[in-house]
Amino acid sequence: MESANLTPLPSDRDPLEAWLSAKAPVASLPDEGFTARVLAALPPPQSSFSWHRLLLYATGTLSGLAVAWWQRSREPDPVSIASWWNGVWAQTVSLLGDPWWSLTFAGAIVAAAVVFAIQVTQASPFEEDS
Amino acid sequence: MTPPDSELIVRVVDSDDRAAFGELVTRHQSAVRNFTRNLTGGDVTLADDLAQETFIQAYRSLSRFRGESTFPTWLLGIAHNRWRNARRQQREHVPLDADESAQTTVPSPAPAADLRHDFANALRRLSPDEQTAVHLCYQQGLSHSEAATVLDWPLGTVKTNLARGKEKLRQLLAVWNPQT
Repeated sequence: MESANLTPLPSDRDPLEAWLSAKAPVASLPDEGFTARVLAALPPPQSSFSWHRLLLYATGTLSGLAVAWWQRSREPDPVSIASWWNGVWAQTVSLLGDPWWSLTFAGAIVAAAVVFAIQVTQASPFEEDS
Repeated sequence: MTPPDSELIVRVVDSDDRAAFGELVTRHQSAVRNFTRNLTGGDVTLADDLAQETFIQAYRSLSRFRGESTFPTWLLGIAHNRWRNARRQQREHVPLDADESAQTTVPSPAPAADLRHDFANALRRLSPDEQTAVHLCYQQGLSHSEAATVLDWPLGTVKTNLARGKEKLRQLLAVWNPQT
C-alpha cells in the first residue's frame, strides 16, 4: 500500500544522508498563543526606584547625622586627624613588610577573586537555577 | 525590514522592550518547541512548559548573552538544561527504567505508506541521545559543533551518537531502499 507522497530514498549517494538533509527538517510550528503566554509570564517591569537602595542611603545618612550630633561639642582638630592617619598608614606598611602578613593579604585577595569567579560561573544561563 | 536578533536583544537589554522580546519569541518558538517535543518524546504539554521556562530564563539572562554562539543555539542550550533539571526531578518520583522502556517499546505500526511516518517511528527506536543528535543536526540543521554546544557534550560524543543513530535508521528504513 503506497500513498501519493511516497518518496523512495535516492540511491546515487548515501541515500539516508540525502533524505535526512532534504526531508528531515521539522515543520514550523504555529505560534498558537505561545508568545502571548510567555510575555504574560515574564517578571513585572523593574522600576528605577529601589527600596533596598533607599534603605541603604537612609541608613548611611542617619548614621552620619548621629555621629555628627554625638561629636558636635568637640572642636575639629586637623592635626590629630592627620597624626592618626599617619599612624594607621605606618602600621599598615610595617605589617606588609612582614612576609607572612604579605602572603596572608595576597591569599585573601586570591580567595576573594575565586569566590567572585564561582559566583559569576553559577550565574551562567546554561546552569540550573535553584 | 525585519530587525536582526542582535538589534532586538539590545533593545530588550537596554530598555526592557517587551515588544522586541515578543518578536524574538515568535521568531524562535518553533525551533525551541520542536526541540523540547523531541526531548520529551512528544509530550506536548511538558514540552511547551519547558519551552516557556526556556524563554523566561533567556529573558532574565539576556544581558549575559555574549554572542559566542547564535541566539537560537543559546536558546536550545537553555532548553536542554531545563529538560535535564526536569528529568532529574522526575527521576526522584518515577523509576527511569519504566520510563525508558515505555519509550523504546513504541511499536512500529503496520507497514506505513509514508516514509516520513516511518522515519518518525524509526526515530523513536533510537536511544534518547541518538534521537537528540539526529534531531539537532538534521531536523534543526545545526552543525556538529553547535549541537555539542547546545548539549554540553564533547564534539566526539555528538558524532558518535549521530553515527550510531544513522546506522540504526539505515537498518530500520532499509525497506525504502532495497539497494543498500
